Amino acid sequence: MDETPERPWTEPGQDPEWIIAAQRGDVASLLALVNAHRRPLWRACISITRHLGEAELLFQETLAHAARNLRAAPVARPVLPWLVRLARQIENAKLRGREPRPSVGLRRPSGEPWLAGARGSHWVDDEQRTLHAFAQLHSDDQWLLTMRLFERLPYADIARVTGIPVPRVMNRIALAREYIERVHELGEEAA
Amino acid sequence: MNHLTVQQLSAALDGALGGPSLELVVHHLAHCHQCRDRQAGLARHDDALRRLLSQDPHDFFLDDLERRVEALVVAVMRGLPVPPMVTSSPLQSEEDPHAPAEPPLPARPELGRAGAIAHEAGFGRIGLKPTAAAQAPMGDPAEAKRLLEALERGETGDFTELTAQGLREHTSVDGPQFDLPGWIKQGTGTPKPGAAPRPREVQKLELFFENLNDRNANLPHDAVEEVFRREGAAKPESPAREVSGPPPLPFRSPSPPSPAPATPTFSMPAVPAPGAPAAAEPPIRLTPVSPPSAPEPHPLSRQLPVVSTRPSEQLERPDVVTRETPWRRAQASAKAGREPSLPIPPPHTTPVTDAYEQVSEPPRRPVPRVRPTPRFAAAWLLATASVGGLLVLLLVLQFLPPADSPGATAWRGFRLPSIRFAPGDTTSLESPPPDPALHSATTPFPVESPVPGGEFPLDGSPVDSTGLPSDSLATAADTLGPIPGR
Repeated sequence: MDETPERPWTEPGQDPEWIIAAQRGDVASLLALVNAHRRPLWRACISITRHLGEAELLFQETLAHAARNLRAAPVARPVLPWLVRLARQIENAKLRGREPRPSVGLRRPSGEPWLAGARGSHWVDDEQRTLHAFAQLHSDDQWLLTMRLFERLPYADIARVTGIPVPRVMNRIALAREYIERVHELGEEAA
Repeated sequence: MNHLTVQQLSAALDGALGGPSLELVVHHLAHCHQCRDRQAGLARHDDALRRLLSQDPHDFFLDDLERRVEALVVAVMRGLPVPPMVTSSPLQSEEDPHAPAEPPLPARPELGRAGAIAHEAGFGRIGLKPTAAAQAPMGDPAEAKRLLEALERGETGDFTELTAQGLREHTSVDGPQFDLPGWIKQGTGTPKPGAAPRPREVQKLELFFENLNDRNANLPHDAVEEVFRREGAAKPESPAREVSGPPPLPFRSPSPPSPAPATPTFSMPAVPAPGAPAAAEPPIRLTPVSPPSAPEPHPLSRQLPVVSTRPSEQLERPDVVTRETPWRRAQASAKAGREPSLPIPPPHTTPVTDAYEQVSEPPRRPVPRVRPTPRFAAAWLLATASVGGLLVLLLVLQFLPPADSPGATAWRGFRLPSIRFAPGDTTSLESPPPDPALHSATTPFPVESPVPGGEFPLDGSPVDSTGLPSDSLATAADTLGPIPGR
């Protein structure tokens, strides 16, 4: 039996059992919950921080915070949106009152160097402009694009997870894409 | 032509359209290249974001991360002190901008000795031509049978080590190869009478043996090469070899020459240049004076090229087979009570510059910095503001319309005198239009000029400035109403 729910964003699966057991003090249930959702949570942390080391730190902070606030965890709903919401809140709280994190780091978000290889330097330039444009978006728009592009959720599921109506989800994703296109064009013209 | 909106393009990218909307978009994209390009741009950015941010790490990375999280969670739920959070890669504020882009290549011990030999032979090194075959050796049924038998016996060494015999059999270097001429291999000492002269090979022989004398006898082959390299550096006028290095090394030459020992001996005949009389000297015998306990060098190691001519690298370059550097060999000999065969000091003990005297200069007196007083600063600020204000005023007056322009008053500006830039400059020569207000001898007095609009009324009723009766003014006043404030 596969314990991992097929649609962890919308279907609770075994989350309620694990959450109830964890709220009673069962560490193994909480660890099973972490193991079931570690990969989408890691993708969310990478898209939020756009940095490998920062994503590692945010991943640990999120789960430590969730362990402290298990009483607030949803019981009848999937846990993954709650965990990602915690991660976004922690990141916003860390950056509040401070300088925003550089949109393009010294390395790729995966930790690899910015080497063009056989593709040419314009390939890296395009990627850096796209990443810069993505970083300029509002965090909500970033999150909508993340759920659509990386998690490949349909509009209806995104609306269910975020609580935003479907037409608004469509419009915001389209405008976010247009914004990235415009910033990219401006970068090309400036270059 | 109405193009598609970005909402339609985005929804079409996500596959969220259906029915008539999808048909409309597909039909439009089939005919409009502009919308196609725009949609392709959106898709390109989506792909770039997926490449950058949709990272799918390995399981071992997530396992390691989960172990750290487990320690945190257990400590939190049991009320224990929370361990510090650790990351496997530096945080964004801790990154070194000068760090190399590529991590060092990991060691590959599985290659074993074969890998070391291949590395020394030049495989995988840019700019260095391999001295051995660059292709896999041909299949040999007998060799395969021998290897299978060795595998059955449990001897797997033959599978990880290259044998010199196999390399020699299948060596096919693409390019010219150096080899001794046949008349040298035969050991005759003189070229054959009918043989064609070979000036190139003779030059090589002169290069190696022209200065060979007794003091270089009983030295290993590498040491003799080192002597020639350094002597060639001491004599830059010699066109045969251009090597830069320190002065000749104080090699010890045993006197008288000892007989050839049982260790490997390289006997080379003394060959004069073609046309020169044959030398009467006996053949020179080169005998290595390294410690007798040193193992016999691998025959393949003598075919390897000398990559670097720097003494430090040569001292530290290990033997391919014995993994022993000449400097370590000399140190081992010194510890054992024997005189080292290569008494070359290590490079870090040799001073790189000559001795010099350090001249102590008297300390310079610091020049006191004059700080402006507040009065000086205020005066300076006032003067600057005055000059700046005057300049700004002049600039503003320059851009205002002149006083003689229609609708301008005398205080709003003035016109600078016209400047004649060139003889043909007609603009500067034009005289201003005559002012009708100016009086001259021919100008009629204003009283004598007729008043436009007719005659003055004789009944003394008021008129306006144009000479019209004041009824129009009264009508206008009635239309506008009472004047406020009166």
